[in-house]
Amino acid sequence: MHQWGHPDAGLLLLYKKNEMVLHQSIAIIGATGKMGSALTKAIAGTANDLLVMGRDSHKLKKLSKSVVARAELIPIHCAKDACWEADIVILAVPANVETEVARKIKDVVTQKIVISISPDMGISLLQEELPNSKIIKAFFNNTPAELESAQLNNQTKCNVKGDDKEAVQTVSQLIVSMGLNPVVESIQAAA
Amino acid sequence: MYELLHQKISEIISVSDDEFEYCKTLFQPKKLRKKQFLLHEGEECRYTAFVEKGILRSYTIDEKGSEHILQFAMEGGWIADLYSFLTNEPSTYNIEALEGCELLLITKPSWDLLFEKIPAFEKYFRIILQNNLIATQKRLMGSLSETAEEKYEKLVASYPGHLQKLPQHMIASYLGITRETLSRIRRNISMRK
Repeated sequence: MHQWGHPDAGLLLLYKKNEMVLHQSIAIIGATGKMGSALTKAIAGTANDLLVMGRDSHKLKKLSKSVVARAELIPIHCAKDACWEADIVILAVPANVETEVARKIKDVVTQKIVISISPDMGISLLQEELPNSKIIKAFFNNTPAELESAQLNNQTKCNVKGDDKEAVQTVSQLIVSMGLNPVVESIQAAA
Repeated sequence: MYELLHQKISEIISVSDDEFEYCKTLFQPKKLRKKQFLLHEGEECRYTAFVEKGILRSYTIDEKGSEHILQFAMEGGWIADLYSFLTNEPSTYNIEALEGCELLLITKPSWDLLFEKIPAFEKYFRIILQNNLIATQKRLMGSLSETAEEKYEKLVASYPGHLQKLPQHMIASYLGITRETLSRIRRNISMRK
């Protein structure tokens, strides 16, 4: 059994790496941005289907042609449609756009995990916009180039924070499958 | 998105607008494309699904690779592997979309919460499960005693207007007959009309 985690973090999660099975549909909103496209490439190496959405259709077409995905990769032009099909949603958009996107997708993300990667947007603000979704903050401590590289060996940390334990565990499993080391922050410790 | 669910629930129990608004917060909207799966054999069935739009089938595959269809679910119906859903054991079924579907999914914890907060839903799901049990028993008895033609006619009566959407080989599989037998039955019925 492998053990990851920062000894000073609030919580440690233990995983049996080879036993993790996560096959979900993951929507990446803002997939044509730097972090969005890096996340697309990192998740494309996992067993999850990807629904990639970006406002620039030319960049979206280029992205979907350039990525070799282990499962399905579907470019979609509408954020709502992408999130309706998805089990998990990643908002890879700037903080000042996150609220606008949240309002567009609100009706189709009830009970779904919505991951925000923006360091500038707190959980509570996004939770206000999406009261019936499971909001997770994921802080990727990598540059987009590092995420895209094949050198990840579950040593590079990614901080994960959220109220819903099961959602935190699911997102942590996803992060491990991407080749990163999830470090779960306790909500109480962070407060 | 929730119109048909509301209609079907209201046919059995009375819920206030506020109660239905709360109910909506426990369901996950999910779109599936044709040939996408809601459940694969070996996975735990985490959801029971209400069909707002589309058609799905649940089926098993035997050691010889033959498919055996347990159920079709059309608009207004529910589909799940109830054994897996209630016990958290791996499912022996596959649930596949036969066309683009709009579903509303609910997990077991949310289901239990719904019963706790709005007790009338216990009656709703009791009646759904009762009807499911009755239909299952009828199908079992039918498979033991009915002719292929009688089985086909019962199927037509159960899914009026929907059968033409289903591939013939799937109807035959559901009835436990060959495609040739199905074609003969359909020919005989149309000649009688």
